Amino acid sequence: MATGRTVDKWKRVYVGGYDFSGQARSAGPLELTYDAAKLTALSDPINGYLPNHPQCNIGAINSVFDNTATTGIHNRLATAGTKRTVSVAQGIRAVPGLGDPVFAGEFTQGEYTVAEDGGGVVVNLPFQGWAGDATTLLLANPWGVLLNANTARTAVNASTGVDLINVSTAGGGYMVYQVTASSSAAHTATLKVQDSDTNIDADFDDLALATTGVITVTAGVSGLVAISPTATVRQFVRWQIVLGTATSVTFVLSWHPGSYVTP
Amino acid sequence: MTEAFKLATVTNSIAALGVSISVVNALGETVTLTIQDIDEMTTDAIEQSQCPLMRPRVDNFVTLDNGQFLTRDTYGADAALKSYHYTLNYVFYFCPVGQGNTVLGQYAAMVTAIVAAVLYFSNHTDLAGGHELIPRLVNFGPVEDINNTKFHGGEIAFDVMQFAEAS
Repeated sequence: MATGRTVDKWKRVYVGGYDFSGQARSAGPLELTYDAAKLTALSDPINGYLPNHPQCNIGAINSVFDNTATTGIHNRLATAGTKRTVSVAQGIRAVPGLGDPVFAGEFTQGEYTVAEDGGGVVVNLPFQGWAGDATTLLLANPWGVLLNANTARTAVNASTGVDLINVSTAGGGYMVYQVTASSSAAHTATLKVQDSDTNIDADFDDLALATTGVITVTAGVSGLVAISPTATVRQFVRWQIVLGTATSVTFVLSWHPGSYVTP
Repeated sequence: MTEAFKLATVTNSIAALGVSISVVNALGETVTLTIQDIDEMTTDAIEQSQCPLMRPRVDNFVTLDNGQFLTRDTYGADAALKSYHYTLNYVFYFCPVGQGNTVLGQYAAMVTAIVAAVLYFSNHTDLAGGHELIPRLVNFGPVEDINNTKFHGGEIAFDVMQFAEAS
């Protein structure tokens, strides 16, 4: 896993189980902003604030207009006012890989606007924030780590995982999955997250409730699965798959810890 | 913090692309493009048999067409994160002017060959040494070798951005 600076071209954008990286021109700003409640009393020498609810938003996706059947952004995201599962993976001087940062969640697409830009036709998709009908409203940390980077998997995972380092182990979290392809549109599989204390294959166990259950795996399947905000999550996490009738599943999977230890 | 100015890495990466670029030469044969690195250039005249050939431009090889050469991206002096921005200028020699039956007989073939090269560069911008490497077609037109012999060809530039910290 590379660390340090990067450039925007290494960003990848997935919405609703489709990879729009080849169409999107920008995604963001990726926002986590706390409302500030002003609690200044008359005799206070300085204004004082406490953080209230956070605003979490994917910002906007700006894209070229593309009406390609099935995969074009016009065919998939032209209806606004809809909850979308969005993942923005940031590669570090390379295509996003294991452990790279991911901003993901369920957001309400507020608009679908087609415009002209320099003679080309482009689209603008502003989002309104975390969806009010999202799977969970109990966690306020949209940043996580990439566990599987839109890679086809044909067998169970026996590799090491990602070190969450300074995450609070008693903060729960959520996983976000984007299935972009599979061996058949009618096939099934289970995607889940495992955790471990040692990052050794044999020590990984299923993270309770962090699983899709058996789902039909085809392009366009996506979702968010949350566990309790007080659940224990051990230091290392990795992707795991149980192949049902599917022999291959291509997916993006990220894990988003509920909270971090204050340094 | 260890820093590196990877100019030689970039030129080496560009030169290495040549074996994968197929172009049709003035004889109508499909060949791979020869791209010389900075340590492969000589003062010898370019032979017809060497064409098509692409080499760094001897004068103005490195220019600052995009503004400032070194930017400081964070606070700090020598310890600040910095980026290099520069342009590498190459000359494309397709064939000697006059090869064939007419002076402009190979012009169309030259254009086709340069287009093929630029298209390949456009699809291979993630090269070692640079974090952004954008090819640019500067012009078509007669270019000269060390002996002022004119060749059908053109100039191709690469706009490079590189983080100074070694990575």
